[in-house]
Amino acid sequence: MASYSPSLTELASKISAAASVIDGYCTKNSLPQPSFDVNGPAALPNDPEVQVAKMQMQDALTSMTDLLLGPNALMSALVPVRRYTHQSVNSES
Amino acid sequence: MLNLLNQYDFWDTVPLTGSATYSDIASKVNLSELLVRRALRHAMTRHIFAETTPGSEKIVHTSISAAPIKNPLLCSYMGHNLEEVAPAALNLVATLKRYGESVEPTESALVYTFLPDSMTGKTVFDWFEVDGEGDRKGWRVKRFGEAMSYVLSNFNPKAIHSAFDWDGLGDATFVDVCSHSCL
Repeated sequence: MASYSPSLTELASKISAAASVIDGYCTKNSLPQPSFDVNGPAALPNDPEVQVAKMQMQDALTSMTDLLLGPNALMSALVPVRRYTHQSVNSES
Repeated sequence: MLNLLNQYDFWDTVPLTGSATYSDIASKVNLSELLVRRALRHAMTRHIFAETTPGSEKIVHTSISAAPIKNPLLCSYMGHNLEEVAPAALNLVATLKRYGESVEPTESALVYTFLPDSMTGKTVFDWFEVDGEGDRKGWRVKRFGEAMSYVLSNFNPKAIHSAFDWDGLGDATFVDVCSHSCL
């Protein structure tokens, strides 16, 4: 008895679609894109279209991270003091 | 959330094949169904356990929540980090204020956090060995050993050999201090 599990490409498509929504909204409304620049915007536009896309993207990103890390590395990553671990040099065993 | 699931051993309350209800799990971990439901719904946001379909009330394992069952050493790794290292990490600044920039193993954040006044001058490993009553005495050092075994079981030393130009150091001595200077 298994639960539904999304694929990496399915998640990547969701992330890409949500990014396009946010990018498109900023372009259409002449607003700055999210940026690490020192003068970048403090938050995404507070518009339902953008906020829904943001939440969908965060859900997909979390699933993507969890899938990519896999059980052992994810359990280590969720332990708050082990943000990066031996897993990063674990290529074969 | 992970700390709760690990300390109350939620891992073994759901079969690897088949499902359990919130009520089944609550009776096994001896907590209220309300708390169990809230904790598991939170855990499910990181793919730790799942409902067969959302709202089905039938809880199944995922690859993530099955990991501690497939490798029980992972429970010790999580326990050591969540119950010992994490509280000490929050005390790093307080430890810095008390001991300055000390690298002495008797003046670490773990010592600051856990050692009773009667153990002043001792290291955290001294405490690991004596903590616990009766048969439980020394359980922390056993768990620490299991946690390190878990790390080793995931660790490929070949990666270290190949990731750095060791020959470029010439005639050098390499000392592995691991993370023990902060313990």
